[in-house]
Amino acid sequence: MRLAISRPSDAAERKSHYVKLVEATIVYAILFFFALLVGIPFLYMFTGSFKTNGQLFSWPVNLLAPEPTLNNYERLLSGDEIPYLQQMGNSVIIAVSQSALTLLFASMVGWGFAKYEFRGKTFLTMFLLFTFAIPFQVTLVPLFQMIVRLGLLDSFMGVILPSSVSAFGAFFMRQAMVSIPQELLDAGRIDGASEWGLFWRIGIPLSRGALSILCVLVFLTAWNDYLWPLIVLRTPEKFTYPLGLATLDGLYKVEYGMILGGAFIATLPIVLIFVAGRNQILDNLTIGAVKQ
Amino acid sequence: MKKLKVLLLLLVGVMLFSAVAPVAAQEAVELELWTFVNTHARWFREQADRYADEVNADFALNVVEIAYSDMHDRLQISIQSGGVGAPDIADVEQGRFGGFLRGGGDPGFVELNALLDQGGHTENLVSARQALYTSMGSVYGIEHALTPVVLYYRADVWEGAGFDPQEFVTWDDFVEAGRAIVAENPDVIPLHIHNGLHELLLRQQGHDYFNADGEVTIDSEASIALMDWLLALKDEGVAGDPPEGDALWAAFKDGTLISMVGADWYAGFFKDNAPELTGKWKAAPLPAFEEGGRRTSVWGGTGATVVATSDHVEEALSFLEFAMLSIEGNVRRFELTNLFPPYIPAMDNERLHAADEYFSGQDLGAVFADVGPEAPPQWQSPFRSQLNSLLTAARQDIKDGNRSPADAFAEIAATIRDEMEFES
Amino acid sequence: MFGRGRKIAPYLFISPFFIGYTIFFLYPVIQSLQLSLYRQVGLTNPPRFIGFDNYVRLVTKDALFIKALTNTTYYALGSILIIVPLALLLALILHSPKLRFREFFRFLYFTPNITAGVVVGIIFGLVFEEQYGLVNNLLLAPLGIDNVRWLREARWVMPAIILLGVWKWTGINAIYFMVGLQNIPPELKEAARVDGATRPQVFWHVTLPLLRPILAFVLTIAIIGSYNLFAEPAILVGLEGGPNNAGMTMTMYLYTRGFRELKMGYASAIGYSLAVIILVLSVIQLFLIRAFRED
Repeated sequence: MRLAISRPSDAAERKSHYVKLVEATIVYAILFFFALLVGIPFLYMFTGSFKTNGQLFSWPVNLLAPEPTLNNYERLLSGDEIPYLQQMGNSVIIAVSQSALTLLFASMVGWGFAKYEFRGKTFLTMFLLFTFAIPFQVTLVPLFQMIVRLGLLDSFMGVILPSSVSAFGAFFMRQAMVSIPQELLDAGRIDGASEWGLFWRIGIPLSRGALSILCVLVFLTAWNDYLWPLIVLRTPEKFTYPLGLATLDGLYKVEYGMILGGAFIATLPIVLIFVAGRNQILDNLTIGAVKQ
Repeated sequence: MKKLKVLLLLLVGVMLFSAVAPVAAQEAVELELWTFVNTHARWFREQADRYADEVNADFALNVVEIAYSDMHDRLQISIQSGGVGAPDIADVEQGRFGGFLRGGGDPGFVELNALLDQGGHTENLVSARQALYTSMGSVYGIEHALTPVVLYYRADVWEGAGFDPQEFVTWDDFVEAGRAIVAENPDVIPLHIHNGLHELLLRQQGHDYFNADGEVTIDSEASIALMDWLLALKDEGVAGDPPEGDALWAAFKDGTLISMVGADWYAGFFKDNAPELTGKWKAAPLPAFEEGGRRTSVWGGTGATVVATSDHVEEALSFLEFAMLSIEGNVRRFELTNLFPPYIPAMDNERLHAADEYFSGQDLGAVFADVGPEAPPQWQSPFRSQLNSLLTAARQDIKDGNRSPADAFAEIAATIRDEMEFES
Repeated sequence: MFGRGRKIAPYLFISPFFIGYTIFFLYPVIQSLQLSLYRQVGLTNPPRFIGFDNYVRLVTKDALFIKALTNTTYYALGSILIIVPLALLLALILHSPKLRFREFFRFLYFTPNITAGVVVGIIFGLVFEEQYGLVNNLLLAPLGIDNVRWLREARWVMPAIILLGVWKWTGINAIYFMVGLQNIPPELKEAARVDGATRPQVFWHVTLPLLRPILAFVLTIAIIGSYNLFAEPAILVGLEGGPNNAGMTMTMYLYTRGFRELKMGYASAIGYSLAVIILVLSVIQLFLIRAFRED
C-alpha cells in the first residue's frame, strides 16, 4: 500500500535502483564468465605442469593438481631432452637485440622525417606508405635464399637483421617526434650542438614514452615469433623457446606436463612485465589505433 | 639516455658473443646425432658410451631428439643449404627418405657401399630392408629394425573369453572371436584401425602404395577392397578408431583397446607408455588372409645415415659400424627397444629370446624370428612422403564414411601422378 | 659524423633504415616476383623459366591452394563475426562508470594476446582434446552434448581454431573499442538522452557511428591477422592442417610448399597471390567504409 501512495518519481527511483541492481548483477556475471573462459586455460597450463601424463589424460578432468610432482620441471631444466634454459636465453638475446636495433633505426629515420626538409622527402614517405601494404609473406622465400647466401642460416643475426627494419616503427617514431618544438633545436644549434647531438640529447630523451612503447611491442613480437626463427634456426642449441616447445610437442612420446611447464615459465616473465607496467602499456598500446 | 647506451652495449656484446661462440670448439671429437624416436635416442646414448670406452676415449655423441616432421624438414633444408646446422648422423624414417631423392637423386648422405662391402656386412643385412635406403645402386642408410608386424593382444581378455589368438589361422577367425567379445562387452574395440593399418595389411597381401616400378598403386582394387573390409568391420563394431596420442594410451590402459597390429618397435612403445599393463600382453603372428598365407607384414623402419657435409665422416662411419653392424649393438637395441635386428648374425642370439616380463613371460624374439622370413618387400619412391601427407589429410573422412575409399584413393593417386609429371 | 651540415644530416639519419629496408624488404619483394616465374625445387638446382605456369597451376589445378584460401576466409569471417560484437560488448561494460575491478578485468582479458602462438596452440591441444579436453568435459558434457571430435573431424577443425582466435583476440579488440569510447565526448550522449533517446537508440545512432574509425582499424587488423595465422594452427593440428587439411591457412600453405617441399618458385607465386588478395580486400574495405560515411 505504501507503494500506491508514493509519488511517481519515487517509484521511478525505486525501480531504477532495482534495475540497477539487476543490471550490475548481469554485468558482473558476464565479466566473471569471460574471466573464467580466459583464465581457465592458463590455470590448466599451470596445474598441468605439475601432473604426469596419466593424470592429465584421466577422468574426471581436474583443473587443480591434487598430487603435484616437480618431475616435469626437473626434467625440463636438466636439459637432457632439450637445452630449454639455453633456448630461453636465446630468445632473450634475440628479442633484446631486435628491440635495440629496431629502436635505433626507427628513431633515426623518424627524426629525419620529423625535423628536416629535404629533397625526396614526400616521395619517400609515399613510397614507404605504399610498400607498407605489401605483406611480409611475399619476401619469405627470397629472404631465406639471401640468408643462406650470406651464411647467416642458423645464426641469431639471420633472425634479427631482417626483422629490425620496421616501416611501422619509422612512422610511429616520426609521429612521436614531430611534436618536439623547433625552438629547442634552434637553441641547441646556437649553443653549437651538432645535428647528431640534437637527435641524441633532445630528440631521444623527449620521445622516451614512444620509444618505450615501441620497445615493448617489438620485444613482444620477437619473443613470441615462430615462423621466421623456424625458417632460419636449424640446431636445437640455437632455437628460441617457441621452437623448443614445438619440438617437444611432436615427439613420439609427448610429455605434456613438461611442455606445459616450459610454456608456463616462458609466459610468466611477459605477464609479470605487463602486470608491472599494465596501465601505461595498455593505455598506450592503442596509440597506433587512434592515430590511424 | 643511460638505458639506451646500456642497450647498445648489450647489443654489441651479443654480436661479439654470437660471433665468437662457435670458435670456442672442443678438442675431443663431438658428433651430433638427430633422431625422432626416444627409444632410439636412449640406445644411441648407451652405444656412444660403449664406443668411448672401447674404441675412442675422446669420442662424444650429442644425441638430439626432434619431432618427426620437424626433424626431417630441418635435415632436408640443412643439407640443401650446404650443411648449415646439419648433424653428423641422422635417423631418417623410410617414409621420408624418398623426399631426399627428389629434384636430382643425390640425397646428401654419405654413400655406404664401401663400408658395407669391405666389412662384409652387405650379406649380413636383410636386403629388403636396405632397399628402402638405396637409390640407383647407392646405399645411404642402415636399417634399425626388421619391423616384422605381429598381433599384440591382451591375453587376459582374449583368453578369458575363451579364445587363443595364437591359434587364429585367418583374419576370419580373428573377426569371429572379436564379434563374440563385443557381444559380451560392446565398449571393447577388438581391432584398432590405426593410421598405418591399411598400409601394412596391404603389404601383408603382397601389395603396396607404390609398386616395384615406382608407380602409384594406392588406388588398386586390392587397396580399395581392403579399406572397404576394414570399414565394414568398423560398422559392425569389431574395429574402431579411438583418438591417437595420449588418449590412445588411455584407451589401452582402461581396456577399451585389446589388440594392436604393430611392428617390433611397438613393443617398446607399450613398455614406455603403458608400464602398468605389464604381464597382460602377448604377441602372436598375424592371422593370414587365406590359409597358409603370409603371417606378417612390415611397418615403418628407420635408417641411420651419415650426412655428407659432416666434418667427421670417418668417425661417424666407424661409430655406426660399431653400433649397428655388430651383434652386441643389435642385441642391446632389442633389449632396450624391442627392435628386432635386421642384422642376420644377431638374429639367433640367445639374449633376443629372454622371457619378456611385459609380455607375460613370452619369448618375444621367437615370435619375430618366426614370422621374419615371411616379411614382404616394400618399395621406395621419392613421392612416398607426399602421398603420406595426402593420405593423412583424407584419412578421417574415409574412416567416418564421408568419402568412399575408391574416390579418395583415386584422387590421391591422381595428384601424385600429376606431380610426377610436373617434375619430370 | 653528422657534422653541422643540415643539408646532409637528414640523409644520414634516414639512410640506415632505408639501406636495411632495401636489402631486407624491397629487394626480396622484387626477387620474389621474378622467382615466381621460375620452377625451382631445392636451393641448389638451377631454376627454369616457365612464365606464368605457377600462377596458372595455383588457380586451375591446385585444390589445396583453393582449400587454404577457403579456410583462411572461413577463419577471417568466423572470427570477425564473433570477436567484434563480443569485444564491443565487453568494451561497453568495461567503459561504464563506477565499475569495480575494471583494471583487473581489462588486464586479464588482454593476457591471451601476449601469450606466444606456440604456447596457445599447445594449451588448446588440451582444451579441444576429444576425450579428456576441457571444452568437451567442462562446457559440453554438463549440457548433455556428446564429445565433439574437434581436432579429428574436418568440419570441427576450423570452428576450434576460430574459438582459439576468439580467446586470443577478443580482449585486445575490446581495449581498442574502449579507447574509441573514451574519445566520444560525453556531451553528445547526454544531449541525445535529453532529447528523449533511449539507451539502445543512443548506442545505435550516436556511439556506433562514432566508433567507425576504430571499427575500420579492428577489421583491417583482423583481416591481416587471418592471413598471417600460422603458429597456432600449425601446433594445434600440424603443418598440413590436420584432417582433410581443414586447418591449413595460407601462410601454412606457403611454408609447407616453400620450406618443406622446397618449391621456391611455386612458394613465391603463393606469396604474390596472397599479396594481391590482401590488396583487393583492403580496397573493398576502404570502399565499404566510405559508403558507410556517405550514408
